[in-house]
Amino acid sequence: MEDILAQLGHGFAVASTLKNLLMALAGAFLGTVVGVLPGLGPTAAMSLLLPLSFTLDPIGAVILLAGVWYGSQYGGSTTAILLNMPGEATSVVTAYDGYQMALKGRAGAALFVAATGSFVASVAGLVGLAVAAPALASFALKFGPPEYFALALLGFIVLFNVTGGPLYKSALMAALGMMVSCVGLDKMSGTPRFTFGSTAMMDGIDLAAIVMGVYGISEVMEQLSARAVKASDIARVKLRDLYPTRAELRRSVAPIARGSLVGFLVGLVPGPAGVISTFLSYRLEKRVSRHPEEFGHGAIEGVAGPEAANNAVTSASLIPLLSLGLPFSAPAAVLLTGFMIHGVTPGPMLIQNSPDLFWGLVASMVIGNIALLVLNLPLVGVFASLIAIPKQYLVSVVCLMLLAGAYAATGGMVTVWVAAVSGVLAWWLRPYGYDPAPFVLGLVLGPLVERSLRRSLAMYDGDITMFAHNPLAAAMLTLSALVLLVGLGLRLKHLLSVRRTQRV
Amino acid sequence: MMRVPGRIGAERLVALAIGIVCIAYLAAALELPPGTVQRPGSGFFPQLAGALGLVLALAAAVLAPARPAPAIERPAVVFIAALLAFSAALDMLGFVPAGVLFTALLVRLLGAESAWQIGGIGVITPIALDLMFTRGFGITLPRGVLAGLF
Repeated sequence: MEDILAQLGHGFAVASTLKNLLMALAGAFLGTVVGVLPGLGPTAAMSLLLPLSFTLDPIGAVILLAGVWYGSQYGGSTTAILLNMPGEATSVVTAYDGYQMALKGRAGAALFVAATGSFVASVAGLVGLAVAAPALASFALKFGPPEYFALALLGFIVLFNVTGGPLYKSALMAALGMMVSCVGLDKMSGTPRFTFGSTAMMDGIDLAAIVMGVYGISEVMEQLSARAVKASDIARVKLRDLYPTRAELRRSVAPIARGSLVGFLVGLVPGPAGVISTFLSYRLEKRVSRHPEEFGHGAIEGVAGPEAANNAVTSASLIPLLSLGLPFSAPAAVLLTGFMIHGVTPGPMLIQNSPDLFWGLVASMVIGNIALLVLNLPLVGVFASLIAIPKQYLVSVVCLMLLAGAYAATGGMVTVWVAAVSGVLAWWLRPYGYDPAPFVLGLVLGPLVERSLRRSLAMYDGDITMFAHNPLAAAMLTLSALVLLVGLGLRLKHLLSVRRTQRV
Repeated sequence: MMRVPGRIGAERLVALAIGIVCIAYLAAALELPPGTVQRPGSGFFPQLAGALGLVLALAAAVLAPARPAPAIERPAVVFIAALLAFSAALDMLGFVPAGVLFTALLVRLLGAESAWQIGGIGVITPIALDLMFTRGFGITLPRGVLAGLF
């Protein structure tokens, strides 16, 4: 514990340099802005900043990108409470009771509880990150290729089960991602693959350009049909109205604590953990409440719990990324790209080899969260008014910035085309139930899956039973099979009950 | 609005299109050396991923419900056309001229009526972005027809 505190102290020294402080504040501020704007999510904003991060050092770049991620969780609740328009999917649940509170003149209290709950959960999550990540990283040092292959497979199967759409569609998107990840020089043999003689393709398809297209351009396209918001629609909140009553505060304490725990645990699981955690927290609060009938009509517990949960997720999601090198969510995949652009590989050796980066990032997130708490409440009116920006300006400016960023990623036209085409394809496929998240994770994890599978086979002379002889890998593969079977069973049960209902 | 007829089912057509992409990919992957199970070559994983993709695409085609495609509205068609035109013109015209055309066109077609707004956003956005990338981050965007002017 003393070691952790000493390392964290060192992290604060790293994060407190003027440049890193500015990066944390800029990231948190930008995150709040994108959190407020419906349609433009943290993944798109982080991908937008990727090319700009080239000019920064690795620590500054990662602090900036992470700031956008956690800052967006604060911003999302503002418009959910004031306008019943969640800025992020993770704030949908907040709107249920937050907007009802606003209609009753308690918008200020809802915003205060949402911001305080977010802060408490983020800091609690960061404590968990500081304790768990180094321990998991030193355990993961024992992992060989079979364990990594089994872990990646487990991650994919859990992801397929939690994305919400049909399992085969998620698996198909992940397979497509892995197929695209093979483009370029094979790192193990040096053979060019799917390059068709083009030297521009030797390094593979640029991940940043694909992410900019899939999460940036396609999300901008979603905004084309969004309804316009007038500035007069936005409820005005005075600073003195921000204080909740003593009863409201008392009712919020336990939901914030429970939401933090739920968010932290769900954040360790692959998939849209932020969204899932808010629904779980809401359901939990309704179940344990003495007044479940108040939920949906302005229960403050319905704001406190989910808002705490979605913020704890961000800190927890960093554990598998930083200690195992496995991004289990789309923003984590973009953050991983940010690391890789600067030649840093997250994984078991990161904390040992780059303590400045790990502990500096953790400390910067504490600082960024304090800044968000202090700035967000007084500036709530300013942030909320951003939603009234006419969509034609927003769409045009953001899109042009994404295309300039795509060009800057490699300094060539290929990445512009990649971003444009992947954006249009992602937008076109979405209504048919094809979620882009498994595609991006397939693209990011593809090289790891390939490398670990090929090395495992080479190490054990092609004997695939080696997975069964390796206890850890065998346990993870068994768990994968169980998750798959349970997922298929639940879907079959649902299908049968739907058929039965249709017959009746 | 454009609609795809729903006899076969738009979703099935989408799955079949993905399946065709997987077949083409698999055909290219089969040209790569697969190696052996003991020493997998560079073609081993692409062949595995391509085959998996094909099986899943066929499953998606079989399980797809036969319903018509969602409507594609005019702003989306305009946006896609402008996006592709910008990508094609970027290298030749340069970022600022192509950006002015792209932004002004989009702002106008998406509802702005004032010439000042269209011209203002259309001109200011690309110039500001160009300055930000070039001066702020040291990344030169394509100069195109303006090469040598500034």
